[in-house]
Amino acid sequence: MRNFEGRTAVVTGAAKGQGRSHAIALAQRGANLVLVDIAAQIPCASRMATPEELDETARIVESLGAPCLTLKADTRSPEQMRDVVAATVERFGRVDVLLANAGIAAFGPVREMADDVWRDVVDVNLGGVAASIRAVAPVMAAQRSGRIVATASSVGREGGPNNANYAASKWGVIGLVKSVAIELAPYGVTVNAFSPMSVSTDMCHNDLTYGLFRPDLEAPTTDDVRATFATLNPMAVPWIEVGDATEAVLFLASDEARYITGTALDVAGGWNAFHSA
Amino acid sequence: MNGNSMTFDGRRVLVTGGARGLGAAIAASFAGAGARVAVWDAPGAMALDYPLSGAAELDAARAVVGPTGHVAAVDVRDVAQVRVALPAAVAALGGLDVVVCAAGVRTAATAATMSDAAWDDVVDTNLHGTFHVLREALGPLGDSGRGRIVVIAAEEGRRGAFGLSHYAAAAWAQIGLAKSLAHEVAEQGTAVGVVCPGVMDTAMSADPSYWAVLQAGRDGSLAVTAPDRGAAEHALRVRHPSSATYADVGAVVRAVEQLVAEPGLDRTGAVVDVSAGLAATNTA
Repeated sequence: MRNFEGRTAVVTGAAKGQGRSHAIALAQRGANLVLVDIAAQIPCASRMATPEELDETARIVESLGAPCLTLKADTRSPEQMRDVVAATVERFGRVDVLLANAGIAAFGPVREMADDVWRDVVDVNLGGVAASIRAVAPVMAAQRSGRIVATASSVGREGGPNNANYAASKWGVIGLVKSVAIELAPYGVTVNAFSPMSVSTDMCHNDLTYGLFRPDLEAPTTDDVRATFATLNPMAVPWIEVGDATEAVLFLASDEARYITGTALDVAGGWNAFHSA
Repeated sequence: MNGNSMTFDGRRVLVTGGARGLGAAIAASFAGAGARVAVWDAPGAMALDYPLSGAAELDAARAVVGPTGHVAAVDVRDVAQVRVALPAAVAALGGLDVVVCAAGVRTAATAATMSDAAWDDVVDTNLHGTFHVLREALGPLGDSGRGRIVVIAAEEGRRGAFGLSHYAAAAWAQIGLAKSLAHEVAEQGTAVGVVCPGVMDTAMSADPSYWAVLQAGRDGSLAVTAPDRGAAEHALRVRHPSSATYADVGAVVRAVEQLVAEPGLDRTGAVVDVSAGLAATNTA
């Protein structure tokens, strides 16, 4: 299926995890790719991508025959994101799809939360998504077409103890997306959020996250946390695979989703059935 | 005196953004009901189309809270200021039982035309400011044993809002923060509630760029030749299921006081809409 043939897609957080999976799938389906990643570690966050991983995503995408522009940029900087969009337009002439996927996680109770644990998580997950959307919105409005998908979370649908920074950022993404969806609707641009449960990536599989799920154990392993993760949703899946995320995101970015805008699509094994809205 | 005859004798209450608008009404009501009230306001400059509170509003707040109260110029965006000001307020009041986070600003612009500063002013004040205050307050609220937190978000935290994507994002995020915190602080006896007011007849609403957004209708489709308060107020009446122009400030104050007055934790995590009937359009 080459249903993104000739489309130009900007993917933030493209070096690994969900972002890399989205980029590869878009390449397989015919898109031109603009791969954006900070490719550097923010100290408080679980392991972030390296420049080598960003290069590896580019290598895979190009091996699939997709034209590809690779840009190191910090989504928190509105100026850098405007530069990303300008470079995209210069290279490919337009921007059809923005996957505002870049995100980080760091945990702790509010009472003990260090300044950077609050600020960096909110600035990347909400500020970075906003900077990405604000940079691309004028271009897509002028084109009178476009697809924006921002990555939220199941934790954007309820409170998350020891995760207030992340929850606030993801709730904020949904409020942002619904607002911009209204603003860009007359231009044929759709704006949606994608709200997954835990996805099997580095953000899920790390000591910090495992410790949050099994505070009773000194050094919990994957086997120790699997059952605890699975209690969060009625399908009792501990985590979904990146491919599950990619299928949902690419649907929202596709022609078939032309009248879907302002929604937050839960891919969460039914976790969302516990939520009021 | 507050409108519902509640008494808050001796309760120690901090109201951020408490020198003007809704915050001032909340501070006055608690003071009138016997509480010892600390008021913070008068932040640093922001690019708004309406004036922020300053020295004159702080002077007026001093008269309202009286000799047992406390008034300080604090910009909640500045974590260093908050770190110093919170213990000072606690010392002045002799402890802390209640925090009402009412400091907030609003501007209006579509995401495609929004300045970086407009995003920052709103998100820094409304979201980061709320976090800064609450984090520092949790210790004293725990010491109280009956701590109460009320976060003032906005009805734009319940839906998307044309021309207000920054304000809506901050309000949604405030709710996510409050619900997360409700889980964390229940064991220390602290309850966390959110009040989402609709548009009120306060200084914040004397803003031509905001009138223009209201005049454009909820989908932004109506042509606006010039910002006009009368036309904006007509648009509000059309939009509101209650047919009122504004959400009543007194009704919002009562919602805050009811959350504070609730003796147990049964209402913790709740979001209370006081929005001239717009709650009728909420999914839940």
